[in-house]
Amino acid sequence: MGVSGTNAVYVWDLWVRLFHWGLAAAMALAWYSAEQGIAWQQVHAWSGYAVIVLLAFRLLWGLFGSETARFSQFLTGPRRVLNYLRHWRHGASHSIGHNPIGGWAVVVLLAVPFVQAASGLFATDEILFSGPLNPWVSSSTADALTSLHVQLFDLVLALVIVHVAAIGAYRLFRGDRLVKPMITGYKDSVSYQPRIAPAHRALALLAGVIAVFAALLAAASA
Amino acid sequence: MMRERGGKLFSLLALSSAAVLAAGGATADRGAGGMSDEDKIEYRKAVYKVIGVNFKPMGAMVKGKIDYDPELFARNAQRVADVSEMALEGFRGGPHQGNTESLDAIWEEWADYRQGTERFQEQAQELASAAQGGAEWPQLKKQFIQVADTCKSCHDDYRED
Repeated sequence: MGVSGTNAVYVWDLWVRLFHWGLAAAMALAWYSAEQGIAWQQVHAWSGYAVIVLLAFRLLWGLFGSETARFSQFLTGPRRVLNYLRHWRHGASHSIGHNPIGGWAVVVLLAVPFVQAASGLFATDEILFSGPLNPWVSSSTADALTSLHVQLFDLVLALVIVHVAAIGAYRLFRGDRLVKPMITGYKDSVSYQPRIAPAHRALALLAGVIAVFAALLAAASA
Repeated sequence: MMRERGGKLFSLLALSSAAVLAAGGATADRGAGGMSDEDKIEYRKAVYKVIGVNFKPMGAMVKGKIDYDPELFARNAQRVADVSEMALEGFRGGPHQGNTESLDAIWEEWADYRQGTERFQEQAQELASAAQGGAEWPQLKKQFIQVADTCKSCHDDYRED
């Protein structure tokens, strides 16, 4: 992996970055299309499918991907999290990947959108459109999951706001620039080069996720 | 001919709702308008049930799940248009206590709610007229989505999520 400029280290691989911005785009489109009335329902469904595929891929990449993508690398115990928070303002400013609190933020930011997108598969507008897995559940279950799908939006929006605010706080109070590395992949002043997983592994996992999800939809519509 | 069918349906529905009310009224407390809260809730649910049952096959045609059947489409469009006139009565004098997903916002913003219902009635009538007037199928599909959107906008604002 190349190095751009002095001390710049490649911390976020292409797949983490594509996942991150792809998820942001898919969620934004899901929100927009949900507000545009029934003619946009198909766009809403497809943006939701994209969210699910991206999140499932990220889960696998967290197990088999590059060093900084792995849950085992960035999930730490409560003591380290508290310690990090206690010295947040003046602590060591350069984690190699996610910092101790950021790691747990990743878990929340993956889990909540996943539950929201997955519940949408079972939801119904009780007018014209139903999620593809809606026929698999009773109508009372579908109602409950529809409510969950709708109500979780507020939580997702709150999480997005906290996420963006936290990025701003790192910039403002610690001088950390977190956006640029998530675009270029490179971060300054990192002590060592984390291991980057090969591209073919990412492509194989992504293809696998898409195949399984497509099979699920096909089974539901059969 | 469609009008006649609509009329027949109208009296049938009136009869059945009267039966519902009579059955409910025997035990339930009667409210100000001679209808108890439970009566009103049951009445409007029955109205929307009729609308939903007639809406469904049209939706299946619009989505291409079943073949377009002009006669069935026109008949159901007329039924929806007719019955759409009947819902609002079930909301008067609320909020009503009972098993309902109606939000109090309906009565707090009654003028807006009534307007929403009127938009539904207008769009449904337009669909029925277009279907009977032999409008092109793409045109009908578009108008059908217009009707569905009037449903959705009130569901979004006035029905429990």
